[in-house]
Amino acid sequence: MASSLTRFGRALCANAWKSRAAVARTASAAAATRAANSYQQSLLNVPDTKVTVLNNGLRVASEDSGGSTCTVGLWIDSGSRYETEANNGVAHYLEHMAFKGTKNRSQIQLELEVENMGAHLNAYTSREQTVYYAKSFSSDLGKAVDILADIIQNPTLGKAEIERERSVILREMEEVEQQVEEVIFDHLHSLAYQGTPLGMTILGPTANIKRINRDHLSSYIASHYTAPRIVLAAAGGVNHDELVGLAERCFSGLPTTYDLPSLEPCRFSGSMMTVRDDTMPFAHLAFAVEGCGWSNPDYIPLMIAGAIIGNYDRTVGGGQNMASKLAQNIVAHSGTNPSEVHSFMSFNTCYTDTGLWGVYAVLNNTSIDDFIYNLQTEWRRLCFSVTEAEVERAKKVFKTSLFMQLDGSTAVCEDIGRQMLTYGRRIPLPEIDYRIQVSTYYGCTVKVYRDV
Amino acid sequence: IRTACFSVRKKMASFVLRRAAGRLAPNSLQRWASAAAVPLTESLPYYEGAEPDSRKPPEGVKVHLTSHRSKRQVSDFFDQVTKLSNGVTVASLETHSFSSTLSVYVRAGSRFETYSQQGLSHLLKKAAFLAAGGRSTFRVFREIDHVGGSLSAANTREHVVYRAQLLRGNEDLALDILSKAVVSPDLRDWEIQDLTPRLALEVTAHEDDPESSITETLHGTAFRNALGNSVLTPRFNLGHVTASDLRAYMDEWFVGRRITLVGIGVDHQELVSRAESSFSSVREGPSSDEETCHYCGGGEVHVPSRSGLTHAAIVSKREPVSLSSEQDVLLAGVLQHLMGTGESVKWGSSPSRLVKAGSEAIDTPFDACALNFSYSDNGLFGFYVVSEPQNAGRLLQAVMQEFSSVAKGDVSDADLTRAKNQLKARYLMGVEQSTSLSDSIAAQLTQNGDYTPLTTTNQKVDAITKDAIVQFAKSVFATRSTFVARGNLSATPRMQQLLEGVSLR
Repeated sequence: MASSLTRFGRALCANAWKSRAAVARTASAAAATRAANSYQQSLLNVPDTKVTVLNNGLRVASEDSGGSTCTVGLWIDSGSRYETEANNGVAHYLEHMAFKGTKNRSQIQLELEVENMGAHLNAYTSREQTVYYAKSFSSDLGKAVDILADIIQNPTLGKAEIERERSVILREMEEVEQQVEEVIFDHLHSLAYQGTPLGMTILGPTANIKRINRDHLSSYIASHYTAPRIVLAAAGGVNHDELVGLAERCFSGLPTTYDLPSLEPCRFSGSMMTVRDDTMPFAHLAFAVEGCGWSNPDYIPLMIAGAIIGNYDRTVGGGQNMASKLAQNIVAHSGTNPSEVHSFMSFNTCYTDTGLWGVYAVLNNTSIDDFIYNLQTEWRRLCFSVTEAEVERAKKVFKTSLFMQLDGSTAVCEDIGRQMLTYGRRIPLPEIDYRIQVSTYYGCTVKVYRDV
Repeated sequence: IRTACFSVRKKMASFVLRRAAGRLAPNSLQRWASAAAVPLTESLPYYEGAEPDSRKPPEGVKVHLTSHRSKRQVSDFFDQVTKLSNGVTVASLETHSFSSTLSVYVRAGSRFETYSQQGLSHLLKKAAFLAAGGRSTFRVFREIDHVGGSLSAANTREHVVYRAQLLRGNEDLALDILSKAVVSPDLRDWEIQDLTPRLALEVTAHEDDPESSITETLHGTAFRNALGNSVLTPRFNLGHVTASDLRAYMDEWFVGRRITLVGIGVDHQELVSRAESSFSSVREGPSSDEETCHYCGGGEVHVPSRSGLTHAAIVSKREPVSLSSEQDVLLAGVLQHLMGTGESVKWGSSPSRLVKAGSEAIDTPFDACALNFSYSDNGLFGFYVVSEPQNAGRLLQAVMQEFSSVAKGDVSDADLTRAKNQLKARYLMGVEQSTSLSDSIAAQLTQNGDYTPLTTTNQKVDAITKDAIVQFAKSVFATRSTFVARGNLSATPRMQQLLEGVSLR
């Protein structure tokens, strides 16, 4: 009797507990649904990216997010990958020369015009893209587009300026040599894509920098700066119709040809290189396998796998509590010396048809063996025994990092330009959200297994 | 049935064609119909072909297109400020964006440290997100990581800032973590002690950076107390600040009237009601009296080394010139841009006054720009140059001569318009991003108790006259200056030599 009463009592308590928990669950579920709805709403709230293709093939894409400032730029589908050994470095040289004066504006006039507007003019060259962009007041959009059109269509490429720029570029090379991360990634590319155009550096070898002349530069512009390969992107307080009108006025003279042979695939070679320098305080390590191209749908599982590995930095207070298993193993195994690994980050560098997926680490020279062991264990674990919870966490981390980047007109403009070149369209945010959400645990493991 | 077969065959045909064209990922194991197999160049069937306005949103989701970000000029519109019962100021701006940024600014920066507390705010920054209010360090990191958010902390001379950035929908967690970090941190002895090597790393990194080290030395030399404290821990005090010191400091300075909570991308009413409960245990104040900061001019510090360059800075106290300190800040900003703040065109040289003067005086590469530090009750204005060692003296002379001619009235209308445009652009471009928008809102609220929309500020900038700028320039080197030089000092003059060749009145 007593025991049955106790059983009954226990059951009653259990039920009360369950119903309390159930109420709590429903309440938090309701709050979660409200929060999720407001997040979904906010994704749909983003203004659309409007795209217009001009008659000559130039694509004009913009997002009007309002505001008194804007960023507008030219994203050009050409970079060091399109160079040969003879002219390697010409794309970057051209980036320098573009700001040295045009038929309509001398260098001094160009700088004065930009500064008078309170604007900024900037550029960068990568292996597959060259970008020139300007930040200005929204009311100065016309002037900014005019300047951009002028510098890529009418650069003077004066002999004196070309000579003067040689020493500037050589000095830039010296500075880049001091940045170990840049050097390591250049070496990584030269190994992974040895013998192919992707293996070349962006700045080019010293011999080429000393040799490049006006003919190299003008033939590069003539063959690569053609309308079908250029995207005029803008974000901030920009009106798309106004931008299209400006583009038609300023860029109608661009050549419309696209008669280069299509990109040769760049074969990936596994190999290893060590550069020993005992005077350096740390060892820097970059470890990569072949990933996938930009448009390959496996890009998302690879990024999620990278988020599972994560980033680690010794200087962050409490960094040993990070969810990344690799970080935990490193901190756990470092034992009495917690300063073995200074930092690591996972990267996924993509090109049109190939990519590099891996980890870059800065560590003590005595812990290289341990780190490589831990890394390979982690890669193996990703293939066979990663958990659903980790994949879900990594999905959120990846989504947040993608979306948080879209802060400010420059970041949004860069996103528009890059996506137009790599995907041919701007993927709407709800679609990105959806694609990340449906990535499954199996998709990620299978992808890593196949590539590693 | 016939139409169904036809559509299936059409889909198959298009699949075959796309595979032949190499536009399907050949290696994907997923079935082609699944979203995870569709290349990123292709739109998903869910979104395919739909006009933007007729796109069907998910179940139960309402779309607020009227409160669209593009319809609201973020820089122009702001009126959401509430003061809680204990003095905490809560400000927010609802951008209806997918991301939220919550920042807590506490007026407890390095200027409030006593002699033996130097470096405390630096340690506070490092210890910002350790265990607090029942949540262990492990739980803080894991919980924020679980929602994909990020936490960051910063310390300046006047404030300590705690910030959380995450996707919308997780503001509860973010505010909970931030408020507990401010109100009830555990400050466990062993966790605080573990931070000493991390502090040391940061101090070393900053010592090696010439700009950072010059800024700290400049402030330390120019101010006798308060603002002279470095934002980094001085070497002599590394490891000597304990958890109980932190607790005493927080008890003294973390009071309601010194705390500002700024939310971007959050609903104001919800934020206020949550903040009421999260910050309820904060006492209203008053805090201890703040020390007045004393500028002592005439100080000079030389840090010689065998480096290949010379870095030097000369500044003086900014005297109040206009009726309001806001106007002084604007005048200083315009003058700074007039003199020069670096180039706006990549690889270019700036047409600024300093660069023009420098290129006329020397023929080696150099950099020269104007320095403008603004604090709540004080400010510094001056110049910073980087030069090859043999020309450092000539460059400094040229810079000071150029400034003295500006102080005598040599300012063209074109120069003034350019400087005004650059200042307005800097303000407007600054508020594009949530973090700098939060910073500017908090700075205004703590300084003026009120937020002035940027359109008003920009109108005030436009109204600045040439005479006002010249008056301001005249006042800048009225008090004795402070001079700091670092690097190869073989041809760097002493401050007295530098100033005697230049008349600044």
